[in-house]
Amino acid sequence: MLEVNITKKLRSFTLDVDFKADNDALALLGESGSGKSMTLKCIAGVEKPDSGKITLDGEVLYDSALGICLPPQKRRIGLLFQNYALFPMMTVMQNVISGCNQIPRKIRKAHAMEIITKFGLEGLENIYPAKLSGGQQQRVALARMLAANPRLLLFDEPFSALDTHLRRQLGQMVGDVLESYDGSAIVVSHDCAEAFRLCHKIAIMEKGKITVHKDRVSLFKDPETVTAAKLIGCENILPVRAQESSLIVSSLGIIIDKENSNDIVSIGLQANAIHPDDNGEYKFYGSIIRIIRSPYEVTLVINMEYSKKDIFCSLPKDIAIPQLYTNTIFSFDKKDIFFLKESN
Amino acid sequence: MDLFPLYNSLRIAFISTAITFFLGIFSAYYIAKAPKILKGILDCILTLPMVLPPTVVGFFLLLIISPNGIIGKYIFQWYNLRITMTWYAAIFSTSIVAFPLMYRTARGAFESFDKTLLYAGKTLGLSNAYIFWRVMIPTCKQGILAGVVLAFARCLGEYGATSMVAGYTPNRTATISTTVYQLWRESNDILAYKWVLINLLISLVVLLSVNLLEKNQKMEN
Repeated sequence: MLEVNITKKLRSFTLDVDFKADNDALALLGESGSGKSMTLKCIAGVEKPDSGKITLDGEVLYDSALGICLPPQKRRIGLLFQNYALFPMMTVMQNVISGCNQIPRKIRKAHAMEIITKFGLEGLENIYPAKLSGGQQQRVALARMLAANPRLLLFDEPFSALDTHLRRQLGQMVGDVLESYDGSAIVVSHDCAEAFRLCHKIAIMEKGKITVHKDRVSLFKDPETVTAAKLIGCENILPVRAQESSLIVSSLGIIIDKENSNDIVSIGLQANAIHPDDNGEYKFYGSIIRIIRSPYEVTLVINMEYSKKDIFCSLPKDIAIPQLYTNTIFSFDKKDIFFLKESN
Repeated sequence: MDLFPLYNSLRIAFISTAITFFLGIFSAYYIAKAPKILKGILDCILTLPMVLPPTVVGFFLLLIISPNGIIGKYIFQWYNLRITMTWYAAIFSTSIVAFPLMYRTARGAFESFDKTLLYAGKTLGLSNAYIFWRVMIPTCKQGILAGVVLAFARCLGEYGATSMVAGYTPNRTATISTTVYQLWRESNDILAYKWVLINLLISLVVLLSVNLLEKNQKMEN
């Protein structure tokens, strides 16, 4: 169990995070520059917060009130970097062994070899990192981190430097690692699909604060805030005006019944929640101004007469597409609406 | 031909290079981490010997270590020892003149060092000393090596400050550069040519070895 409650002044905002992570993996999802990496660095101990407290399995790692700040070497926390951070002047074997301080000297090599084999790197032990592919380097970095037997795993955008295919492969590998690992883990990412695949819990970070922290399935059902909705890839975010027990969506020209709607500033509609028929509870008219074809779906860009904001509607590839530039009816259901609050 | 100047120059250069190596690396390491204002001030002071005329460096050095200098006077009183006009006085002068070369190249190398390597090492439980000697120094090898070679060459060729603190005494303090000057003054051109040739040879060997080292490093990566 990891408990973090720290503040740290950064250049453009103040990092102020407060969260707990149990043995399920937690994803920190946020735009770049929202303080995710800094949070990881503070937990690992390579950066020092201004104040607060960090405990791991009951042990205090940092406590500004008590003046405790364990050096990273004593924390036994694994940190995996986006750029792998392999030691360039050491071979794969030496890199993996460098993390094995905990292991008796005699069996270090065998221990390292076992992990190297586990990650499919046998035959590459005596090669320098510069000669390896990106995927191989990331596997070495994973192997090196796990060889040190860390109590907590931290991943800082682990796959963003890799191409799609490798990303999926390594994602599975990290998924396996997380599954078999019986400690907490935090994965920092800006890719919601990746976060969903790897972690059961997702925390959304905005300008140094965690605004939403919940189970991954319920996050995708109800993202709660505008930023969270954007981060999970919600295409349509429409500002609303709250009135008594209803919301006025002026861009669509409709009114939605909603109790306790005072702090709701926008609604979110995923592109696939909108369909070009009148079967839904809420209907609106618009003309299609563009059709974007992707391998598995078709996205319609809908122009609203009285709003500059385009609406996106995606359909399965094989469905008949309404004609361009004609006024078409669209509809959606209340259950598909995300009611979104301002983040702070 | 008396080879004492060669022997003397080399021993001075080797000792001074070793001194500047450690001093340069450590000051570069700690100054790179220092707060901004302190960094600016220290950086200026430590680079000063590079831009000052060597004679000015020699002048300051004499103020400090000569038998009536700030520190030299105590050494003279307590140990009855004269530091100036000895062969090892040249170690002081060459170290000071060569120091900024080592310091600046090492600092440049440290500043371009990828910090995530440092972080990774720390989270893996490696001690700061281990990270410094086994990760940082090897990774910055090229920059540091360039600094060492520049410092060595500077030590070997130092004339101004050395001639002031060590002077020219044949078989005691003569170095290659002071010998060349002395021979020219005596119009002993033939011997002067020989020493110039030796100087050229040493410089060539130094430069060639640097090039070879760089080539090896490129092949490694």
